[in-house]
Amino acid sequence: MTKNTGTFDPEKIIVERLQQKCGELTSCLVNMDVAGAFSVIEHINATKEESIYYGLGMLARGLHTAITNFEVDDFGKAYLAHEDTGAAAKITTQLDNVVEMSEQSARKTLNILDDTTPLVKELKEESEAIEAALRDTHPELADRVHKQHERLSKIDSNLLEILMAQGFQDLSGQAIKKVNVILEGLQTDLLALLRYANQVKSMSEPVPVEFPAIGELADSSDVEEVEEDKQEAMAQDDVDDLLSSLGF
Amino acid sequence: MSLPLDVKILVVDDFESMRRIVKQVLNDIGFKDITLADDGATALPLLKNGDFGFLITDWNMPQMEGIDLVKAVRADPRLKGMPILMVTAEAKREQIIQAAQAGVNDYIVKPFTPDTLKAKIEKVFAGLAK
Repeated sequence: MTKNTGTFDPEKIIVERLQQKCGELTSCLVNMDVAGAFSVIEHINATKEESIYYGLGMLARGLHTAITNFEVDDFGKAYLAHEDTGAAAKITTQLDNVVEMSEQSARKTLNILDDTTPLVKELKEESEAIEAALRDTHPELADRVHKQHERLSKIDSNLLEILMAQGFQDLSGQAIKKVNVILEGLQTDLLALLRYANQVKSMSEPVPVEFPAIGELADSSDVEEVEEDKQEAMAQDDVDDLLSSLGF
Repeated sequence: MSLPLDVKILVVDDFESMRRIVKQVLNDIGFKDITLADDGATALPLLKNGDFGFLITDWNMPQMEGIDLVKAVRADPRLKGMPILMVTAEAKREQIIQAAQAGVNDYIVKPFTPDTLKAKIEKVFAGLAK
């Protein structure tokens, strides 16, 4: 579990509880109150289990708070076609909105490229034809037209670069979708674990252990990191080598 | 090498931007007959009912993944000989092996350049000519 850097420290609370109980235990033993001492020991044991349950609750609460409080900024909201973006929405919905925003931006760029690229190609063809027509009779003019053709070729090449750069929308969209799946699964799993821990707790003799109510907690940054996939992505050359080794 | 520029191509990707990028690059190479599909589930009926000669597909798609589309094509007696190029962000070793075993002719990792796409297409058709 990563160290809590927020305003609430469950470890500190647990240590304080245990210190208090140890004080009570010492007091019971000094007073030869064996029954009282055993009762305190039961409380200490219950604290261990409750602290795990409590820590899980902190995690679930922190994640849920982060998810519900995540918002796209005002510029993003204005850019979206959706009307109802004022309220705090689930983080997964907001991330879906980010995908949609980038898709709209890419679509706009591609539409402009669809209009512009054919025009540039036409101009290139015309300049080639004009250069050929002028070459014998007006070689200097033909040279100038040739320079225009080179510039148009450069523009055509740049337009292709702009086209390929729109591929970001695909890659970022896929990454965001994977993040959404992880977030939803993480929240679901944490809540399921909490419910299970609660069921287990309710089966045993209840020993009251006091912790602050989970619903009263502020944002917690004490969230476990998601374990990363250890397999590395391969570059195109490595892919080609592997395929070659497989006979492709 | 001389490419069969009149071949009918199906491009399958769930992201519109990527479909349009691949189509434009194919147009620049000289291919003109290009159909787009947004998922393996919509692509398979098109392949079964059309006369496509080349399939370019992504991997991750919501209804039917590209790997399953490849397997379905290879399992169909009428389609099993179709050249297939997979163009995907998935670049882990085990996935590339899985795609090769499923029957793709070649594999491109995103992001890619137009030259890479052209070179791969030439390699696929050169392999078919042998």
